[in-house]
Parts: sequence; C-alpha cells; structure tokens
Amino acid sequence: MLLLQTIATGVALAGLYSIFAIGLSLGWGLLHTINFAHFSFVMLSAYVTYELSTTAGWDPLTAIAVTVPLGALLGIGLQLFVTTFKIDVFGTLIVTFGLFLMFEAAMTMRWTADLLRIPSDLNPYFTSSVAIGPFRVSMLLAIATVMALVACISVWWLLKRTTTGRGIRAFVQDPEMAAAFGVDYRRLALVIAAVAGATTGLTGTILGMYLSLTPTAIEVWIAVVFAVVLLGGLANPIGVMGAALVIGLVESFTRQFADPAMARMMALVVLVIALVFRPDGLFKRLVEEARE
Amino acid sequence: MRFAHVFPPKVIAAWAGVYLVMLSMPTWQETFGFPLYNLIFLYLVFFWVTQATSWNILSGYSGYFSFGQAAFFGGGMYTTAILGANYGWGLLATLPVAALVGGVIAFLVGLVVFQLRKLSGEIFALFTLAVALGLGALINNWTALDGGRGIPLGQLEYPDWLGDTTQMLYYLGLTLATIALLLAFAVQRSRFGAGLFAIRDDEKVAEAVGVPTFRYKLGIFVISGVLAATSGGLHAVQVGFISTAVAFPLRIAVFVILMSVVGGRRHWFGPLLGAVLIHTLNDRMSGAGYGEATQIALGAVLILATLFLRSGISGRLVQRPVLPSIAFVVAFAGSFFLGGVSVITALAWGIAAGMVVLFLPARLLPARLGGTDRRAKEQVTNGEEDEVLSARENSRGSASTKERT
Repeated sequence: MLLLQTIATGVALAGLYSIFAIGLSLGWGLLHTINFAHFSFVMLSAYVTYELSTTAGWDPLTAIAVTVPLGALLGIGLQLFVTTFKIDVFGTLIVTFGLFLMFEAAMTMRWTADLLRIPSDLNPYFTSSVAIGPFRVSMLLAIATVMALVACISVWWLLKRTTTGRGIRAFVQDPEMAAAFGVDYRRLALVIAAVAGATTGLTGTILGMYLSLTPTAIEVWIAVVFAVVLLGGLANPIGVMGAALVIGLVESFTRQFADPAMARMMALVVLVIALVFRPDGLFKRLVEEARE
Repeated sequence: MRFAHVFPPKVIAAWAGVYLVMLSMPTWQETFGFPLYNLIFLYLVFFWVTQATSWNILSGYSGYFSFGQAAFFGGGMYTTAILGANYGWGLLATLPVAALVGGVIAFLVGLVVFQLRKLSGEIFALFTLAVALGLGALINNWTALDGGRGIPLGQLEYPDWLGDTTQMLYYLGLTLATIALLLAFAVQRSRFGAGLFAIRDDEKVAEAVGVPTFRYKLGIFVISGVLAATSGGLHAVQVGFISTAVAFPLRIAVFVILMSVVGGRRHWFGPLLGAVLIHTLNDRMSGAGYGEATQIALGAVLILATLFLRSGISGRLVQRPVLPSIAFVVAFAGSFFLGGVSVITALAWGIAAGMVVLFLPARLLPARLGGTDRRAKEQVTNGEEDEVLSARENSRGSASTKERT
C-alpha cells in the first residue's frame, strides 16, 4: 500500500518534471538553443499567476489564458534574437544565462526578494487532492500530469505527423538539402519556439500555485530539469516523459524510504550514472543529426 | 638567451616595481591614514583576480566552459569553516587542506566527465553546474558538515607578523593572486599551454597530432580547482559567517565568466584586467544601492561581450591603446582632483570613460589613433582568434563545436 502510494506520488511528480522539461528539450534538440532563460520564463509566469490571482481575483488556474501567450511570445522573441545574431549552441547558453540574471534582478525589483504565496482561500488547488482508486495525489501534481500528457503527445504528433514537423526534422538532419526542398526553417523554428515558450506558461502557472515565490526559488529546479532533458534524449517528447518518470520515482522512493533531504540529490546521481554509461541519454534523440 | 627573450629585464623590473608597491600598501595606509576600505577593496580585487584566473586557465585556455566554480570556491570555504570553527585549526594550516579538497573534487569530477565518450562543451558546462549545485545541497543537508544552520567563523589563529585581520587578508590575497598569475603565465608559455590551446581550437586534431588530451584536461582542471579552493578558504575569513548561500552561489560562476570574457580569454592578462574592471564598477554601483540594476547591467554586459567582443578588452586594447588610456587618465584625474571623490570612485569613472572609448566604432575615430585603417586588421585578428563562442559558419544547423564522435 505504502509502496503503491509512493509510486503514485512519483508518477505525479514526473508529470511536473515533463511539462517543465519538454520546452527546454525541444529548443536544444531542434533549434540548437540551450535556453537557460527557460527558468526565468517559468518564474515570470508564476509571478504573473500570483499577480492575477491576488490583485485581479482570478482563479489561479485561469491565469494560463495570459501566461501561455506570454510564454509563447517570449520564446518567439528569443528565437528571433538568436537567429538575428547567428549565435551558436554554446553562445546561446552564455547569452541566455545573461538573460536569466537580468530577469532575476528585474523580478526582484518588481516583486522583492520576500516569499510570496497565493492565499489558500484563493488557491483551492494547493490543499485539495484527487483520489485515483485508493491513492491520493496532490491536485496540482495531477493537473501538471494531465498538462504534461497533453503537451508531450501533441508535440510528438506535431513532429511526427504534420508537414511542419516533417520539415523541422528534415532541416535538423540536413539543413542544405531541406532548404533545397523548400523548407522555410526560420518560420518553422518560430513555431517550435512558440510551442516551447507556451509550455513555460503552463509550468509557471502550476509553480505559482505550488511554491512560495521568490526570484531565486527557481534555482533548485535547474539541475533536476536539465537531468530530465539530458536523460530524455533531445527533442524526444516520449523520452522526456520516460526520463521524468525515472527521476520522479527515484525521488519519491528516496523521500519515502531513505532521507527526504537527499531526494533532490538523487536526480543528480542518476544523471551522472546515466551519462557515464549512456552518454546519449536513456532514450534516443528524436532526430539524429547527420555527422561528417 | 631564451630567458632574456621571454623576460626582458625592463619587463621584470616593471612588474617587480608594481609588486613592491602593492606589498607596501598596508604600511602606507598606516603611515598616511588612507581609508581602511581601500585595503579591503584591494583584497577583493586580489580575490577576484585569483578566482577569474583559476577559471580562465581551465576554461579560457582549454575551451571547456565551467559553470561550477562554486564547487571549488565553496569547498575551500567550508574546509576553513569546519576545520577552523569546529576543530580550532589555524588559518595557515587550513589553507593547504582547502587546496587539497579543491584538487580532489576537481580530480574526481574530471575523471568522470573527461572519460565520457561523447563530451561536448555544453554537457561539460551543465555537468559542472550540477556538481556545484549538488555539493551545495549535500552540505546543506548533511548535519555533520553544516545541515543548513551555517557556521559562524570566530577569530582564526595566524602568525602575528601578518598584522591585523585586514592586513593579513591583504598579504595572503596578494600572494595567492601573484601565484595564480604566475601559474597562468607559465602555463600559457609552456608546451602544456600550447596543448590546451590546441584542444580548444580542435580537439580531434590535437589528439591526432599527439596531445595527451585527457591528461592535459585533467591536469589543468586540478590546478584550477586547487587555486579556486585555496582562495575560497581564505575568503571564508572575510565573509565570517559561512552558509551554503554564500559558499555556493550562482553569482561566483557569473562573475568569473564575465571577468574573463570581458578581459579576454586567450591571455593571462585578460582575467586580471577583467577582474579589476568588473569589480570596481560592481563595487561602486552596488555600494550606491543599485544592487538589482547592477545585476541587470552585468547580464547585459555578458550578452554584449559574448556577441561582440570575442577577443575581450585586452584584444581591443592592443589595437587601440592610446585613446582609452588618455580617457582613463583624464576621467580619473578629473574626478579625483576636481570632483573630490574617493580614489575608488575616481577609478570607476576612469574605467567607465576608458571603456566607452574602447567600444566606440572604429569609423568614428581618426585613422592615426586606431581608427578606420586598423579596422581591416582587427577583422583579420578576429578571424584568427576564432573561439568557442564565435559563431561558426553553419553553426545554427550543425552540431556543436566541441564534439567527439
């Protein structure tokens, strides 16, 4: 019983990790942008959710009507910046790291470094839980899991089954040949950037309800999310879900049966072990690049 | 003679002079009664010079960008804190242990990460970041080490001839910075350094021509870790209260990257220049109460330097030495003698003025003073100095620049 409950918690946690990681994975695998500012976008959406809920009195979940378009716009903006200046993979890591610092400082100026939390009477999702059979799972994690399933499956469908996805995959495999066949990479890249950005809106709204907000609160998520991205195989939505499941379960089991304080560390241990034995991640990249 | 060729007597005399002036600074401070803050300020400059140089001999020379400076810095800091506060060790005894801790962390991490079959620069960067964050989380949760309460560091024992705490920090900081710069200089001029530069330019080719890449990368990683941890161990005294928040901040990686990128990564002089510039400006802006604005400015400078300043300020200064120096001297002297501000503020104004002139587009300047005719030369130099960060042709479409297949 305890075992099954631990598994249920791990699965729900995996939902949160997948929705967090999928956008980052898409950007890295398909657009060659390692977007450190992904975390800032998420945090910004979390603050916007807080603001809409406390000052405008919205139900916090409805804030996705604002945060998703906001995230998509940020994603598109970043992509335009990256293509304009022709920044290479490594450059994007440094440049978006600079963006991350700027966002963090700007959010501190606007919302201060104090802990902010949506009051519980405005945030029914935080305290309630859903019963799945005999198990109870936090309502927020359940919502995150549903969002993650929808997002990952639609991204998979977009990449595998639509003309847009075919064009993107063709370009990643062989840019020159794809261009010769009329693939307009710039336009397709904006679609992917918008999708990746939109997931930061979803994640941000969930985290806005889940966490006590402070501009640096996002830093503890960096390692675990990158672990999911690397383990999942770049731009592979199914792989992201699988990797999130592995890490979510490891974390949940550590918390239940060993030291709760070590739970977050375990994600790093899994990452190190996996990188040493399976440098490409546990799952294959969706698109293998042609190598010289 | 080779020695005289590499070290012309004049150059040696000049640096020895600078060093003696630096060494005698606390004596002057006592005699003439300079503000004590100037000594603390100089100590912090030495601290950043050491940290930035430690980062640069690994990441600037070999091209493997580390985001994990905090792992060594924090490791050293906690070594001093635990041995000093809990076991009553003297400072001069804890520093070698801090060095050892830094070396061991670097050796173990390097052993794992450089063995990876397909190690790209991005993976290395994220891996080192994960190590730093993980080490911070470990210490924060492990009650025998810290357990999240933080360690107040009382007065540590050290020999009397080092003076009071500020003077002691100053002398030891200066010593560490000197060691770091000498090491960086020696590595750059050696076969070892040439091997590292080859790794950065093209690792496959370096391996093919017989550079022992694994040994070199591991070696420089350990040296870098030792330097950073020793300096962190000393910095614990300056900080006084050690917690994971001060020992494992993201900021330290930001600053060392920023200082080296802005200063120039191909030369031992770059991080020195970058550390002086960035620390002075940061000190003045944060001191004036613009903490967040400073961070925004630093982020912007990091982005701009990555995009437009591939060989750093030191590269630009070589092409355009005269005008920025004049601007610096004029702004410094003007604000100091006429404006009546403190030395450090005057220094900040001088640096700001010098940097503005340095960044002016070449076509605005007369040709004789580093204007248009040198522009062609500059582009050639930039082309030669193609670095990891530079946008290579097709880079948006092809795989990363440092990938072994």
